[in-house]
Amino acid sequence: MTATADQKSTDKATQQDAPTGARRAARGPAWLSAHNLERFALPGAWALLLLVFSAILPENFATAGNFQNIFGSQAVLLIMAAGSLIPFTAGEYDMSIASTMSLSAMTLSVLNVQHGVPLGASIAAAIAVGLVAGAVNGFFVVVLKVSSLIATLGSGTLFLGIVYWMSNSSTVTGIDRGLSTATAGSRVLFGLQPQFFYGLAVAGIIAFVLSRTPYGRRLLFVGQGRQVAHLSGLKVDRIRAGSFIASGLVMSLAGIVYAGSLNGADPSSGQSFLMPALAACFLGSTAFVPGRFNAWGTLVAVYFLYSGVVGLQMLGAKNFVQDIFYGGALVAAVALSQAIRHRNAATRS
Amino acid sequence: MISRRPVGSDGELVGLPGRSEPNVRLQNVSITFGDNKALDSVSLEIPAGEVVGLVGENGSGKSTLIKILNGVYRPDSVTRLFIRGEEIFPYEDPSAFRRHGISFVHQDLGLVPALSITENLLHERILHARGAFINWRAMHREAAGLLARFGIAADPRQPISTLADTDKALVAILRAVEELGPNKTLLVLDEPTVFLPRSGTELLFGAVRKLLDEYDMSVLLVTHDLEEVIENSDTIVVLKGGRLQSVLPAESATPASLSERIVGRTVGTGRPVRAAGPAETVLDCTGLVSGRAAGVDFELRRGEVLGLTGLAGSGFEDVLPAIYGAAPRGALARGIVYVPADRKTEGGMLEVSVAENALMPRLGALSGPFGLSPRTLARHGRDFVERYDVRPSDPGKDFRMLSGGNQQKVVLGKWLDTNPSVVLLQDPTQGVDVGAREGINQRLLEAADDGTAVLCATTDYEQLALICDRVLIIEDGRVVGELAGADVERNTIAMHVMQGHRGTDPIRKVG
Repeated sequence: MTATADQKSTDKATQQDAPTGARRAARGPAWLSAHNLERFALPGAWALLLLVFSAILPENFATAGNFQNIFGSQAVLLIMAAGSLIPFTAGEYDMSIASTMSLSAMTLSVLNVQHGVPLGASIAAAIAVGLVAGAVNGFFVVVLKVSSLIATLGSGTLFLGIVYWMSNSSTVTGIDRGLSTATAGSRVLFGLQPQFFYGLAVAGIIAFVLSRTPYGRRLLFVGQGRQVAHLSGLKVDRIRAGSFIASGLVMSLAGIVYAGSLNGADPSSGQSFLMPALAACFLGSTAFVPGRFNAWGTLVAVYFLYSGVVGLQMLGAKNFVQDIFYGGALVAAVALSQAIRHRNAATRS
Repeated sequence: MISRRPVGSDGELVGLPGRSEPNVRLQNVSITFGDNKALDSVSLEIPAGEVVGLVGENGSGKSTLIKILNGVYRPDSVTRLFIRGEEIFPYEDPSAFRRHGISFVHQDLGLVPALSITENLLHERILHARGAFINWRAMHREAAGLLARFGIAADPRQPISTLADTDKALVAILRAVEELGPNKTLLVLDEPTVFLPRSGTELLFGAVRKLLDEYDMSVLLVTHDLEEVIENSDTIVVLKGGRLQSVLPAESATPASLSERIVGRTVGTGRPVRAAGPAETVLDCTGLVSGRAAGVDFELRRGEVLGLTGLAGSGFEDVLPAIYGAAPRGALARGIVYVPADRKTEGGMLEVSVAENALMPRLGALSGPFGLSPRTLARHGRDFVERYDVRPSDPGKDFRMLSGGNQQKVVLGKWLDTNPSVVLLQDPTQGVDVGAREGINQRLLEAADDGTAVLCATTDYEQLALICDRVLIIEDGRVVGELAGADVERNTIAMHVMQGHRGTDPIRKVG
């Protein structure tokens, strides 16, 4: 994202703007630096995990079908985790992501299934609901000045209540076939479901926005120094509120994919995405650009965590291992990212 | 009421052998930091029932002396400290001072705003109360008694935050006296009146006198305000460069004589006056009221460096935030930029790289068709650290890893790169090392030569003397004088700031 360690050392060596080849040559000997080890520790750990499980379970784990499952089934989680990065970068928590996602999925299902609204209009309504949910969060945090952690925990419960209300606490199925075909139906490439590519696209767009656009930097500046940002002329409150609206928008996309993959919506299962998404964000912030929330790190973290869950389940662990694994990973990831920050403060040069 | 001691011909006190032991006696207090003797054989006595005023410039050793009495610094071994005749140094444990009845009221008062008056006043006893329950009724009754005795009209149950500033300061003093416990020796008041109105200061010292009458204690008053120290002390101690400059009875002191002792003889060195023709006014400030600024008027012209100074609490610190802080976007749109005093929360983002901090105002312009490329950021970052001589010259480093001086170069450079028409600086050399200071001053002068107007609010007289064309002195929230030409000189500025102009002729009335 920004000038990273290898570039820095290169920059010092070649003060002028050297051609790319020369740059790479200068970078060569330094690739095994401690900083690089750290940046690629998470992808490395993931690769190791895949190798170990493949070695233990050659019959089950190391199969094309399993890998198609691992990659294909986590699109909703990936979209949600990537969307959470936006408020996180602006220094805010959005704990309502799971409820917002469920709210969008349920809106789509109820409109399409129970009221016969065409699929396109139902999707538009689902997106609108996500935007409104984000705006409500923004209002609580920026106008009413409630801490975002509390405000979004509250609004998340509120949205969930609405989900139960409009669904009569029951599962709604039977959405227009078009949606499930477009998300989980056919296998497009490498035997992967289309939703995998949707997740990849959303993660890619968010990665670009966060790291390469002035808007992404502004989010970061607001998150890292609200007063500095204000004194530098940024519209801090608008950016903070906007981060919730953007998050709401992305959650509605996740909701649409979720509804497609289930061919409907159920009111409660969406909640199980909250902790894994947070765990992936924090774990991802230890990779590639250590100390900063970033989308590619989050993507690797999503698949790292899910690979672990799948492997453990294949080894005979029961369903509860998922909760233990994701919960533990969240705490471990936060502890790790804090350790990196403290270490950075003490020694990084 | 006030014991006066005989005065020698030179106006200094004559030692009186055989006189009763003072509450606190300091002998040969010395302390060395590295090669620097911050205090060099300072000896002084603080007799019971007296207020001893301690004055000196920043860096004269005042606060070091207080920190020795506080146990923060351990003085050199030649030092001898006596409390009521008992030698307490070398001590095992700095809490010796506390046990011997010394307590402090600092400028920030150290009260907890959300807690009740009683909880603040009697916190020591409440924290260490024995038994399972606190007898709140008795506590409140006792607090109410204290409040009544010192004329504070308030319910002890109400939170501190509801009190007026003067009453807060009074509560802080009463609390410090409470903390002293049964043996009350010395109350150190470290600029307690900076934020008080004139009437509040009088009330406060009324209370101090009452305390002195009641208990066998003494007061050490540290302040920058010379009138205040003359009015309210019995003896005044002047420190200069870590040494005892003089000890004199307050009644024989005047602000002029005192500031001369503090600053030293004024030598009108003059300075190279920058060629300044008549230039258009770029900022016209009339009747600015904000915080303690109570009607500040001035004009800032193109290409000029204007200084704003005064005592802490005089209101000079409130001018720039009022001009800029309320609506940064509006100010920026007019080409006004602001270098704030607090670099860590207002100037820069600690965990963001130098390049990103520096390029922040220009991100939009640097963004290409594929957004902000890391290469572009790195190139401009390199260029930036080179131009502003930021060390270490690594634009990828986190802002917090830089020294204060280099952080300030980044903040200043970030704004100078936007070609501003006005640069506002609040205390720009605070915590900045000498080398970086020079660089910053150089930058400011260059910017002024290019037509930028610079307005610098600081108590760093040295810096003002080095860069300013004019210096405005603010007192009680108003501009009381203007120094220009050869008068823009360190000691002259210090002298005018310290002497005060209440009721006297201003040097030159402006506006």
